[in-house]
This record gives sequence, C-alpha cells and structure tokens, in this order.
Amino acid sequence: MILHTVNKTEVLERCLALVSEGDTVLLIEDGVYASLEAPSTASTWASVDPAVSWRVLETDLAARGISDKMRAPFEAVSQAQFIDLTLAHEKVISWG
Amino acid sequence: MDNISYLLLVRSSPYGSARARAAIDIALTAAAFEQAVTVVFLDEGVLQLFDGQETDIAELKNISQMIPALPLYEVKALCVHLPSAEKFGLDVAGLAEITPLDDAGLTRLTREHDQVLVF
Repeated sequence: MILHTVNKTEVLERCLALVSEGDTVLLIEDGVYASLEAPSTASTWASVDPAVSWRVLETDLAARGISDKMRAPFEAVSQAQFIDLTLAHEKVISWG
Repeated sequence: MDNISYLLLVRSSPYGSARARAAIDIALTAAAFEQAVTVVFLDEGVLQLFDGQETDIAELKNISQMIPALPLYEVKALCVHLPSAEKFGLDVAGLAEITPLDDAGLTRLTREHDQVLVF
C-alpha cells in the first residue's frame, strides 16, 4: 500500500501508470486542479483500478477557490487526515 | 545502522535543473552508508544516458560520465525504463551495466523498496 502525493497535474500520468490495489492518490498544491477535470478524463480515474482511493487536500482546494468544483471519485481530506493517510500506508511516494 | 533499500526514480533531464545531479549525489551518499540503492532512469531521465554529451563549451559538469562510475561506488542496480527509452530513441542495447525495465518491472520495484524518491 502506497500513498502517492501529486503536487502538479503534469506528474499525474506517471503516477497513474504505477498505482495498484490498496494505494491512495492524494492531490496536493497545484495537483488539486486535476480533480476539476471533465468526466471523460475522470472516468480514467476509476478505470485505473477500482481498489485505488482518490483524495484531495481540502486546504489546497479552498486556497484556489475550487472547494465546490471537485468531482467524483475524489474526496476531500483535512490536514489531519493527510497525516493519518501517511501512517496508514507502508510508504509515501512524493511525485513532482 | 538499519539497512534501508532506496529506489531513486530519475525523471529529470540532465541539464535542465539540478535534480538529476542531486539524484546521483543521493545515490552515492546512500551507497557510502552501505544502503542498497537502485536507480531507475525514466521519462526525461533517460536523456542522461545518451553518449557523446559535450558539456565543456556550455561549462556544465558532464553527468553522463558519472553514471558508468556509479557501480564502482556500490550503486550496483542501474535500470532504464524501456518505454521511456523508446520514446526518445535511446538504444538500450548499447548501455553497459544498465538493465532494461518494462512497466510491470517498474511497478514491482516501487513495491519492493523501503523508500522511493523521485527526482
């Protein structure tokens, strides 16, 4: 189980090629913009692996004024939940 | 000291930033402390592996000359991501001591190592 943090949208593709069952992808900083993408792109999230969790850091969404524009399957997490995620996974890969 | 295995994913081109150079420094440091290090060149990171890099006129430190020396400093596992090499037209057959790796192999390495660092 790996927690992948993605801090810009352009590194997401590389990250997605490596995720697998039990992993969590967490969008942070400018990476949160990827949660806005249209459903055609969003369908690729679910197609990667149904057993992958998709999360977005809510403070970075709020800072960019897009808290209410995030799309499924992403779910917002707090800073405290971010810490919980790092503890719940075997390792963290910080992309970007 | 506990032994920790490190996987370095080098995605940066050689001279566009200091990241590629930093990756080599970290590999050498970890190996000096007898930690197991695997370096994978992927995406633009494979651009470090082209031979014939002439850096003198540009006054840059030639990174490509440092890579073949890594095994001498106990950085034994060097790999190149094959789809990235193909994308940039890099012939992996000409690379000594560097193992080609497919997508599945890359995923496997990220699971096997204790720490994964991206450059």
